[in-house]
Amino acid sequence: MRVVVERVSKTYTDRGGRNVVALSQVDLAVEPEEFVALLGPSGCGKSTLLNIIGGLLPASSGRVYFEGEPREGRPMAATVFQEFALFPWRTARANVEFGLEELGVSGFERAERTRHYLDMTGLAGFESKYPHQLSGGMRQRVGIARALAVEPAVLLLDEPFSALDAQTRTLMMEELLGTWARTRQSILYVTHNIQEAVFMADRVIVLSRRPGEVLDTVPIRLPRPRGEHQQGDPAFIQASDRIWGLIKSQAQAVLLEGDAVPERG
Amino acid sequence: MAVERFIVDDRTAFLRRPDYRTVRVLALAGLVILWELITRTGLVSSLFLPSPIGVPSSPVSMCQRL
Repeated sequence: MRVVVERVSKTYTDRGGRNVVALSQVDLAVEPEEFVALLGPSGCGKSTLLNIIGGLLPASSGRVYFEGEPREGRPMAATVFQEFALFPWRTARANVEFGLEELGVSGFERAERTRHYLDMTGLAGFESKYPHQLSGGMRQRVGIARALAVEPAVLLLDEPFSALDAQTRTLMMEELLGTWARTRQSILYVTHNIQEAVFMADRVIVLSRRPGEVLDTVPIRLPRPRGEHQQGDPAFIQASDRIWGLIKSQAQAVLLEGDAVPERG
Repeated sequence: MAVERFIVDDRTAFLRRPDYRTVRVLALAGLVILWELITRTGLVSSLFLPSPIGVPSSPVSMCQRL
């Protein structure tokens, strides 16, 4: 399905009663089977926008809609969170089953789908482990399997690998691309890492610092399947430089304000 | 064929509760008034349940006796 974000704005009221504009008139679309990265400096409203698309946060104005033919028993969107958000009292299998239970999927089908997505994410043999018995990478694989198991029209990922070490992150990125190649679900992937965005996505939507507005959309013309060797490819470097050019002044402004800057590599 | 559109709903609306601020203040005030009445009418001895007004006035009177 296609996701359309139309003139979406979000204003928060802080504790002092002041209005803080997090997003301003954001327009974007994610096409079916497309992998789109949403990139911007910390605090630019990337996660806010993702939560609005996922229905976890209401927009102050504008609208978000899904366009296409829905499949019965299949939710529009599922989110993979930065901090895994697993239920600590449930095993890996029970965590993956959770969404299916909520959808009312029957016991046999639930078990089959859970096994399929646990296998796909490399968790076979770890089904009975609790989150505290798993490594960070494995926990996030459970989070991804849980989101994939409900077979959503669009998968939303909110900096899913930022809590992982660099090596695990690289491996997980390749794994996610492999999973996406098999499922071909539309993906909206939030990150503040330019290389990660270029490595993963078909298009990178660059947001400005607060209030978040779309600065530009950068198409990534790298062939798939992608691998680490492509990081020296002229198309990779060109796209990274273009994004950095868009974001550099924003990052400097954020730095002066005392926030984190986007990672260049 | 017409393409169907599905507007994204706020899925967390059910989590938000109305904020009964006046009721909260009135409930607390009612409790304090009831407590004061119980001690003033002598239903419970002030030895076991000092009145809400008596509690802050005690240290004042103790200081005055010094």
